[in-house]
Amino acid sequence: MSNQTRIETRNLNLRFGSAVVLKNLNMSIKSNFVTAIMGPSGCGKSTLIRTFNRLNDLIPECHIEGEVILNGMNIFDKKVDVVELRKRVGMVFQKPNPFPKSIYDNVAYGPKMHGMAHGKKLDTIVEKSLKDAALWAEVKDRLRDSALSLSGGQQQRLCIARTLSVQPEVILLDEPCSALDPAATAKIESLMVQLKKNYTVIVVTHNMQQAARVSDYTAFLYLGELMEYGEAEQVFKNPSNKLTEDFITGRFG
Amino acid sequence: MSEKRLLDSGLNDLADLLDDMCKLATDTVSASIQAYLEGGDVFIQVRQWSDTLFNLHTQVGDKAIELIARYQPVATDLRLIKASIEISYDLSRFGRYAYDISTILKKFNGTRMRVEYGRDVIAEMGERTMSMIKSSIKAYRTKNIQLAEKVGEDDKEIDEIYLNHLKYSAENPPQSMEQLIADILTVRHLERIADHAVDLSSSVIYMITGKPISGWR
Repeated sequence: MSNQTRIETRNLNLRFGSAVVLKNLNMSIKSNFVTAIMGPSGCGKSTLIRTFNRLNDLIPECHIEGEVILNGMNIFDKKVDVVELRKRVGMVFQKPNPFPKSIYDNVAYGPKMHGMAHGKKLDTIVEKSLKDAALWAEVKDRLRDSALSLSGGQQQRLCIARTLSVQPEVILLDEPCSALDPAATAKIESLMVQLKKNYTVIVVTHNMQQAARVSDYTAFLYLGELMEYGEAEQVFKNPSNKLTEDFITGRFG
Repeated sequence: MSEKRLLDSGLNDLADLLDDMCKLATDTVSASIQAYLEGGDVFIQVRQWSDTLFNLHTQVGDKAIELIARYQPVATDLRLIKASIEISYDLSRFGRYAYDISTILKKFNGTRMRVEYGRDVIAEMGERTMSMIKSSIKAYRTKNIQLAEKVGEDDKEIDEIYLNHLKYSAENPPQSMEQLIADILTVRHLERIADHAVDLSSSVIYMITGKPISGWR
């Protein structure tokens, strides 16, 4: 494990119109760890991770101040290519959203679009991505089948494979298991922990136990402010902030 | 803000079990010390109470596992459950050592002897040990860190009395070997009871602060 910072926010403020969503956030996310972001609905969790690959740019009323530094580069710098940024910072959403294409084409789509590979090299990328997403064994004999024929859990792992195929540095997961059954959830959780060997994983979750199981570092957001951020073991055994304590023990939220 | 959680009912059950254990453990140790010093046939009663304490300790463990499995508690809830398991163990050990003391008493009653040797020391250790038990239980019930810490201090005095008495007994043994054995075993059991009062207190401190206490005794 490295101790290198992959993403750092500096005095990050974000509002949609007059609604302030993130308030003066300063946090540093380490490479090759799983960082979980938790907090009650509307606290700004999803908005925060959508800031990391500038998905909020698509919302007209969004105003951002401060900096998000990815490996030393301010992602809001005018020189930054947003398409390239989203290749480096991939995202998996709450509901599996495969393209209505074959399993193979779902994974091959990104590398083809970015001109990264074709032919046998593309096959290799697809196979590696599916293996890294722990899906290869289940689909290797049906790569030309529709992705929509897969189960929900398989579709979510396919979406992870699709993210991995463009070799990102950071994987953002926004409630990736909320639509999955316990067995599929267990596979995704296990996958998150495996992925941190090669990627920086940031997961938003409502599920306290999931955050406790998978994360190395845990952040607690409340009303857009970072109330607590530290090693998961410490946060779940002995949080330093009373609000965190009340939230994780189910006294509010 | 804090309406009752499903977990709270289970935590209350745990607290009720520990309350029963606290009272019974105090009575059990008190009865065995009193009988040792003043005579009285408490062997069967103390054995029964000791068995009950062990059963209650098992119930606390079962309840704790159930709460962990059903509610996946964290933070103060999780620490309270861990502390409850450990405290119930200490309370059950109070019962076991009280039973061991009453076993010695039964042995000497059986030979119609009265243990005179070392009575003053046992009376003093008994009084101090009972005080430590009560303080540790009060610290648990009132979540009082200072009181829990004081139990740790009191234990140093018990240890000193115990070691001094061992030295004295080695240098001034009684004529009767049985008297010596009864005396040494009893002071040893009292010293161990005091140690468990310290352990109980350290669990209280962990429960409140989240900071484990190691090497306290």
